[in-house]
Parts: sequence; C-alpha cells; structure tokens
Amino acid sequence: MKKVDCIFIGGGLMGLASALFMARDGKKVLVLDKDCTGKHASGVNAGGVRSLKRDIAELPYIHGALAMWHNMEKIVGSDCGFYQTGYLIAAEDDQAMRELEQRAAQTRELGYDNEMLIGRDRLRELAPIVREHCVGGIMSVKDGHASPAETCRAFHAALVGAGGVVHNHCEVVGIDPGENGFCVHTTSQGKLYAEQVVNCAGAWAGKLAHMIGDTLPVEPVGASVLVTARMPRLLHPFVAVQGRKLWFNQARNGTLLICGGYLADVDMEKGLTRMNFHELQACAKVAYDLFAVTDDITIVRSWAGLDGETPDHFPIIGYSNKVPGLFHVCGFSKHGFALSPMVGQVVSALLQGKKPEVGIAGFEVERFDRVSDLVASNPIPHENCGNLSNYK
Amino acid sequence: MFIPVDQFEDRNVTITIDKQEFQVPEGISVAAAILGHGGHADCRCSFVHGEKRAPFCFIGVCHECLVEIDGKPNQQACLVLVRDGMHIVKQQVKEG
Amino acid sequence: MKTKWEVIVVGAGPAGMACAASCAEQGMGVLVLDEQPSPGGQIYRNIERQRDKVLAVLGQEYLRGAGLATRLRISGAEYKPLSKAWKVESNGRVCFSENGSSREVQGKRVVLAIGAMERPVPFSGWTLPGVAEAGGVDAFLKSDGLVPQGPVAIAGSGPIMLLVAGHLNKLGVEVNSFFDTTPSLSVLSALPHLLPALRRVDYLAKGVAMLMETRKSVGQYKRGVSHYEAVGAEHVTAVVAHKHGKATTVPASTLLVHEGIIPRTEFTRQLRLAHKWDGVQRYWYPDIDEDGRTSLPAIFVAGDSGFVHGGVAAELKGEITALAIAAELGKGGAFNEKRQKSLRKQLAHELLTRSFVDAMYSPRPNLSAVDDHVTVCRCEEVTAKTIRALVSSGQTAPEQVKAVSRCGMGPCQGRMCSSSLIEIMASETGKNAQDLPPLNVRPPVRNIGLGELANATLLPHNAAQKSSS
Repeated sequence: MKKVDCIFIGGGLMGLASALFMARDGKKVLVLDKDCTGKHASGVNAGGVRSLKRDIAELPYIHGALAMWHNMEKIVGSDCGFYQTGYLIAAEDDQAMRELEQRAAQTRELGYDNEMLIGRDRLRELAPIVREHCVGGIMSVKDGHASPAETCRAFHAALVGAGGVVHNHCEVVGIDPGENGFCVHTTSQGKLYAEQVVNCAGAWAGKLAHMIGDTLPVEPVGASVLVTARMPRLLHPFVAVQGRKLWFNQARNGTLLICGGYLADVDMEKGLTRMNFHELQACAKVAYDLFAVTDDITIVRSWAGLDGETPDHFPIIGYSNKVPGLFHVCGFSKHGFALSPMVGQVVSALLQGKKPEVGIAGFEVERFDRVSDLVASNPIPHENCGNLSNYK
Repeated sequence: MFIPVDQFEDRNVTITIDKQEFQVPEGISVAAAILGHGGHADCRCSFVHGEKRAPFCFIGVCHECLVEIDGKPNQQACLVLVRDGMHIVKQQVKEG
Repeated sequence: MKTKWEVIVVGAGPAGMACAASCAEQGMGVLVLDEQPSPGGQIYRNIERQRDKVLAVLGQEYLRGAGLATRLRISGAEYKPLSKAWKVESNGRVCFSENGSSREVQGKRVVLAIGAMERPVPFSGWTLPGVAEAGGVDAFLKSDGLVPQGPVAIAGSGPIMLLVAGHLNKLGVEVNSFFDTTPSLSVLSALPHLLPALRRVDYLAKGVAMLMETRKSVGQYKRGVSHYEAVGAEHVTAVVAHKHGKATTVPASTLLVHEGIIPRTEFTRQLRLAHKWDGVQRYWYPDIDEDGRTSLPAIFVAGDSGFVHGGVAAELKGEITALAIAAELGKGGAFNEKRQKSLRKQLAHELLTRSFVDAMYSPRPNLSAVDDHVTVCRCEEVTAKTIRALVSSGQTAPEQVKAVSRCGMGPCQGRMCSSSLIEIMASETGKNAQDLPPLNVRPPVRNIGLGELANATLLPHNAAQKSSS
C-alpha cells in the first residue's frame, strides 16, 4: 500500500478541515472515522459561531474563522447554514455590567473592536424576551449560527472533491511509529501507512494518544442541548448571560437551542452519552429565570455530542513531544465548532512545515507536562461554561 | 370531518375553538371536539409550508393534532379531554 | 403519591392491564401509567363506558376487555390515566407528565407495555386532512363515538381493514371502495404456515367471514392494487388506485389506510437496548426472552411492543411477565410455575395462526418506491427526493440523513418516518434494511414544556445510575 502524507484519525471538523486544506495543497490525506464523519460533537452541537468573550488566546483564531464563516460558500461550496445573528451577553445587575465593561475595554486595547456594550433599551430591542431585570449587555454583531450537520457534510464533500479519502466505520486498533513514518492498523482497511499522523479523535484523543505511547490529559465529556419545537421568531441573536450557564438561540428554522455546558453521562464503552435530567433541569431553571416565554416553549428532544476536554479547558494543538511525526489537535469541548475552519488552516500549514497564519503558542501539549502541579494550583472552575465566563 | 354516531348525548361542556363557542359532551377528546363537534376538518398548519393538517393516527404518535390549549402550544388534541371553559386554538406556527 | 414501587407498568392495554393486575394480586405495589383516559389500550379503548350503539358493532371480542379492566380496577394497582411517560432509565426510574406537571418514580421493575402502532407508509397526498389510519379511526370511534364522513375509501393490506370496514358499514357509513394491496403471491409464501394455522379453524373462519361480508358491503372491492394516492387541495376529495399500470379514481371524503402493525419501540430505543429485525413483517423489535426480560435486569417488555401478536396474546404475555417478576422479587410461589406453564401453552395456541397471517400480510415490496415529491417526514416536511439526494451524496447512515435533512426531528420524534426512512435508504443503497440501525430516540420521549421540566420533581441523581436489581 502506498504511503500517504498524513492520516487524520477522527472524522470531526478539526480532522476534516485540516485534511481539506492539506489536500488542496496537493498532499495525499486520509481521514479515518470509527463511526462516520460528524457523528459526535462536530455534527451535533448548538452551532454557535461566537467571537464574543472568547478567551484572549483564542481571539486571533476566532477572528480568522469568522472571516471564513462569512465566506463559507466559496470555501466548501455550501454556506453550511451559517447566518449572521449577532451574539449578546446580558448583564443581570450592575456588577455584571461592570465585568462586561472591563472585558470590552480589554479587547479594544488588543485591537479588536467587535465587542460593543449595549444599554437596557437596545438589549430589549434585540431580545424582547429577556426578563425586565437585565440592565444591559455586550454584543458582537458579526457572530452567528451554522448547521453543524451541514458543515460536516460540506467539509466531507469538499475534502473528497479535493482528492482526500475518507474511510468511515474504520477503527484504528494499533499504530506503529517507525523511522519512515507510521503504520496504522485498522479494522476495515487493514494496514495504512503515512508520514505523519494527526490525533483529532475528540473524546477518544486521550485513548488514541495512549495507544501510540503518548499521554494526553483529555477526558471525554458530553455537553447537552435542549431542542424545542419550532416557534414564531422570538429573537435574532444568540443570548448568553454573564456569570451564568446559559446559551439560548433560535435557529433559522424556528427551533430554540438551549444549553450552557450542562453535562450528560458519558458511556465510553458504548461510545454514547445519556442525558442527565438534573443537569437539563438546572439548564431549564436558568432559562426560566431569564426569559419571559418559558411556558410556551415545548421541548422535543435533548442530546449531547461526545468531545474531549482538557483540565484547563483549552485545546491542544501541536506536535507530540514524545512521538515524532504525531500531531495532536483536540480538547475543544464546548467551543471548537466555530474555530474549526481556522484551526484547519493552521494545522495544515504546520503539518507541511509552513508558517501558519496564527501561532500556536500556549496551545501546545507541553503545558501539561506537570499536570499535577497545574491542577493543584489552578483547580477546574466548575462554573465555567466552556470558556464563556472563565475570563474575568 | 367526523359525525357523532349518537345524537342524544348531553352537551354540558362549553369550550371555544378559534374563539367560537361550542357545547360538547363531557369526556370526549379535544380532537373529537374539533373534528366532530366544531365543524373543522383540520387542527393545525404544518411548520414549513403551512399546509392544513388533521389527526392521522388517533393514538398519540403522529403529532398531527397539535393545538394550542389555554395558551399552551403543541398539545396533542387526541390525548387531552375537553374541560369546561377550555380555549382551543388551531395551531398556526410557521417557520420562525 | 408514593415514589417507590415494586413494579411500574407503562401502558394499560391488554398486556399492561394483565401484567399490572397480576402483580398487584400477588401483593406487589404496582403503578400503572397510561396516556389514555381509561384502561383498555387501543383494542379495548373506552371499554368501561362504551356507547350502546358502538358496543353493538364491536361485538364479543371487544367485550373481552371489560373483564380485564375490572380486574385492573380491583387489583389494588395504582392506575394513573392521562399520564405520559417521557423517560425510562435502566435502573427502573420513570419520568412522566400528568396534567402539565412532571415527576420521577422508581420501580424495582419496569414493564414497557406500550403496544403497537400502524405502520406509517408515505404516499402522495397522505398529509391531506381526511386521510387517516384505519385502526386509529376505529379507536377514535371507540373513545369518542365519531365516524368519518362518507364516502369512505379504504386502502392497504391486513385484517384490520376488514374489521374497520365492517364497523363503518354497520354504523351506516358509506364505504364506496376497498383497495386491497396484498400481493396475490403472498398466499404462496403464507401456505407453508397454513398447517399449524388450521388448528385454529375458528380464527380462520372468522377471517373468511369478515372478508365475505366486506366484499358484499363495500361499493367496489379491488384486489391486487399496487399503490394508491390521495387527491385534493386542502382536504382529500378523491382517491386514485393503481393496478397493472391502470389508474382508477373514486370520489372520497375520507381515505383510511392500513399497512400492518409494528411494535412501538420508543422506550426500548431510548434505553439503547438491542433490537432484532423481523424479515417477514419488516420491523425492528426489542431482543427479549420468553418472559419479556431485556438485557437490563430492571426492564421488561410485554405485549405487542415486544412483537406484534395481537390483543389476546398480549394479555397472556403480560400475565407471563407478571409471574416472572413475582419469582424474581420473591412473591408468588410453587403454584406460579404451574400457571406459567399453562399460560405458555395458551400463548402457543394463540400464536398458531400468526406465521400464516404475518406471511399473508407481509408488507408489499414497493413500500419505499414512493415518488420523489412525497413527504416522508410529516413534521419537518422532508421529501423522498431530499433523502435520496443525501444518500447519493454519500450520507450512508440514517442518523446522518436525519441530522442534515431534519427528517425525524419534529414533534413526533421520528415515530412516523423512521421506518420509511430506513426502507428508502435501504433501497437507495442496495443494503438490507436490517443493516441500517433504527434512529436513536432522545429523551424526552414525549414533548414537555420548558417550565414543566424546570419544575419537575426528580429523584436525586445518585451513583446508582446503572442498573439496580
């Protein structure tokens, strides 16, 4: 079998996007998925494309990505269901408003002018269903919403169109690193050979790293989403609330997606999530506190996509420091979807030895070399809702 | 449209369907009130194209009989009994 | 209301009623949750206070339910009508909604006895008002004393069509046409199963009598119809039947359709239990043992939701499950073993005709050959064309097609389209339907209000989320 330039293990958006841009540079790429592309978090998340109140370190990525989202038709031949809705975070009291003001000042200083403070009246105008007590908020108008399933489908199709190969239902059972690259043992395709291997296996990234002789502090998690029946238009922007776990938006088809980092039970043996209704109830209660329409809202379904999470809630991007030629791109739980096109470009460049548009300083795996120290000095903030409020 | 087999039942429950008042027998379903006593052939319009829809399965699985009852949308008319003073509105929710 | 029960039975049809009553009679604390206002299920719906005029046409078989309902009422089981279960957990917990508020209860054993439904089969015009499922309209007659407006056309295949035609005829409704789509070759595939069926001559004779009666009573009786469609702008006005490439059009105010019965598997799928594929009747059914045991110790399945065998068999299966549970929970005694044996014998006798009937009325092979413009997912209005286009663009898993097209994502949560989605995908990909996994079911299995969820009384989330015994 001929050796390819790169094998991507995991057919989520990180793998699909990275492989797509590499294939467009004329490289031979293979994407392997043990299920099918987009089956887990990439294809089933709330579809938020948010720059607002992103962690500072991720700002260059999200602004690059936003430009791509607005131009998706040209990049993958489908708009991926992206449409600009704006994203706002409401403040429930003056203290919360002060926090938002500080944040806006900070991003302005860094040269980003998209985060704008809005007053009570403007908030009411944009999201009339937000309850009376909210005093104002912060908004980014360029943010929006896309269809995760359509995005995965479109990236998959574009990758195939660019000469990339995708093998679904192809599980990796062993990887032999050698001097001349890797031999990847699979269930349905036998042995495959590649110069480089990318670990973009989401919830399975930790397990996969272990298989190759590396260690990654990536744990599987499932972030839940409540979905409602279609409703008349209630609001246009995504709405979140400062200091509380809630993301609330109305998709183009009229259904509401309500979430906020509420976790499902994870069953890695079967590779699935089970809804935890205590978490969903907590989510419903916050929504009930903040929106004046909750009695009319009918919940039709809930789900949670599996993804990987790191102890500091930041992704890992970069070469393994133990296995040469192995590249990790994982740990994006709850905030990776919007970043994926840009991450794909960066990863593709790095794999080809080119200088990426945006650096990966701070995202490398080295930061976990002394994991125990890190966890002790910086315990995981439980109130954190996927980087939304972890910046204070 | 449906026709009652028995014309002699007591009609002792007062409801409204799309603001029009009806006297209907106690113990019947909201679907029966709409189709058999309210003179309607449909219950709602479809979400995407706004087509008229009526109950299809009558056993609670098809969700074609979704109506608004006392202000609450998406109620299955075939699984709710009429109550005196109930306000029923044929659901007209279309794509946001 | 008590939170903890020895047995929670979901559904009060023949299986649920028999199972609940038997468990309660043996001294167990039993809670019955049912969506209908009174016990009976679909087959014995409204048995407790049926109108005389309707009772007269429903006959002896329907009356069988009266004894069962009475038995349930006096058994000591706590019966909750108009209560919709919306989540079942592997450890025996059940969430249900009653009168707009939700709570969670815990059973040592949960019996899923939610019955069966008519196989939803898309065809041109099937979303028009005036088009309905035949068995459903019969159930509506039982509960609400209403008959559809004539002229009525009946189309499809299966014994229920004959039954419904008979009921309507006796109530003076004009049934102007009866389009039978049972392929004539079905008789051949059913023949090998005739011998055991002959031991139930009573059953077969009844079937033949029904057939003769229907032929006499309906305006026209057409056999060998390949497919049919409903025509109309905002309501059905005519029905077109196709036979040997020729179309016959009849005026109709109502079109009743029936394409067989399939088990309701929403909870067994929500629980991610293993399911098996029945190649004759073409449906997924949960993998259970002869007592209704699933792979989860706390979860049982009884009646038609395990496999469609009809009302009498469902009652026996409910009873058998009750005895199995009694043994597991240390109730009952030596006497039970004898009873169990006798029940199994009765069940076997009841099932003698089943293979014959299943083969005779197996779904016609062209079920998935619907025109591109036909709506498959009624809620989200997804057409066959959209599904086929996604398949040809490389989407090979039903879940993928669902996610992109929204087929199965509306309020009915895929109940009406998942079987046809699988059939259409199978014929597009050339795969066997059994190689396409049924769609996942995500809780809540019934729609609930956001406020209702916020205020629901849930049991503490404890470590025992796994199975408890």
